Amino acid sequence: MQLMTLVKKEFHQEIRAKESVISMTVFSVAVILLFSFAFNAAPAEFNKFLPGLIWMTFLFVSVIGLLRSFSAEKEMDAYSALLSSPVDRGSIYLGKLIAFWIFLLLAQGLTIPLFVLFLNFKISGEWYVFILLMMLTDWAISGVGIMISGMGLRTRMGEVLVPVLLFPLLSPVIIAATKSTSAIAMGLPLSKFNFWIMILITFSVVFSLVGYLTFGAISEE
Amino acid sequence: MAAGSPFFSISNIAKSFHHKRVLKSISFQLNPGERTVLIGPNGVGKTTLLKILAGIMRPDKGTGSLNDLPMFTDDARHRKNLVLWAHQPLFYPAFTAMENLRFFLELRNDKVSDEKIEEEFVKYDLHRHKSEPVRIYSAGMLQRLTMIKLTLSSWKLALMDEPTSALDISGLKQLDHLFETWGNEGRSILFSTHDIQWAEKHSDRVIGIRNGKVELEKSIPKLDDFTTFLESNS
Repeated sequence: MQLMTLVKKEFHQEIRAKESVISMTVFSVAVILLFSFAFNAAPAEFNKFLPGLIWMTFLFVSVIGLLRSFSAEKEMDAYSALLSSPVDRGSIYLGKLIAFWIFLLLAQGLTIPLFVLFLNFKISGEWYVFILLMMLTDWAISGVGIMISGMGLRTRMGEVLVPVLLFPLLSPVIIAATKSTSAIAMGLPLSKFNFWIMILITFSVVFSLVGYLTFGAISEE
Repeated sequence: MAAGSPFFSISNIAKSFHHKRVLKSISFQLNPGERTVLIGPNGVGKTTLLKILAGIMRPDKGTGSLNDLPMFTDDARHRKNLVLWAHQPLFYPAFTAMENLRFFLELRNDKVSDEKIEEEFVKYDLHRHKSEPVRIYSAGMLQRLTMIKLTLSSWKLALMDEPTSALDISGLKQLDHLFETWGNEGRSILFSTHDIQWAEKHSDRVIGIRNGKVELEKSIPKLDDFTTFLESNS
């Protein structure tokens, strides 16, 4: 019940302030356009490193969104009101995680067609498999990202802390997502990349649990 | 003033920042309906203590209970009995006054009808601004909105950090009235202030903090009790 209230609040906040999805989408579009002008490789060559470019873009995009995810809590210190409410810290974490996961998916949904249009991103396999991969990878990114953003909220160096901690922690996720995307783009069966999917699942489960259980200690001053 | 057995107690609360011990060992109890003022010079740890009690900050050590529920643990149930009035307004700036109230009441599971909320908006002269985002509210309007939030919430202990600091004369009158009403309803208030005249009029008890410990505890304090304690500190 409280979790629903918290998720609804995040959506309401986003509809009002229009901070996360729009800034993430605009940033993605700018990066895609830069890539399309900067790289002039033959399509066959380009397709080899396109999955990596896609996930690097989404990693940077997620930092933009994560930096915004706690900004509304800071302005009038509404976060202190949240912490002093009878709601457990794990629910605050899950509320932020679920909302950010959906915002990230929305931003990606708006920008993936541009990767197709400007950079000739093609999927030889099934698109739904790629969409499932995005959902899984985004959950892992959101789980780690919200935890680190929560840490950053109470420190003076918060805006630096997010990318500095996020990039190394998410390296396995980005590598797994890139390898899986390459395999899906080539139309390979799941058995050829299930190792990477297992890494993504493990990462998602472990970090979501760690975030849920430790968010109290992380978020208090 | 209704006063009964302690429903709130803390024991040996300690907190350090960068190896500086701000609170060394704070212990006291509160009775229902009691209005208790925390006094002490700047930097003595009054705000830190209120933040610890509100659950925003975790103490290095110490225990506490509120209404027989443990504090300073991962158990959030005791916070149903708490409300906080801090230096900052504690609202979401992009939300309207109504949306902020609805959100926080829902989070506390306090069922309040729209009519009751409307009534309070009229009483505090905010009804014409209830659909405006609180970002454009003045400091006084935000204080009145906080009064509405506290009036509509169900709680047993209000933690108030310098509640009089941004209030004009009419705001102070409203706060005077609320202190009386809440006291008569058996709700307790623990507040900090530097305005000792106001504190003398509105407190049933004083707790003075110095050197990280409680060094003054007195019921029905007089102005002299405040000045003697604060001057002996300097």
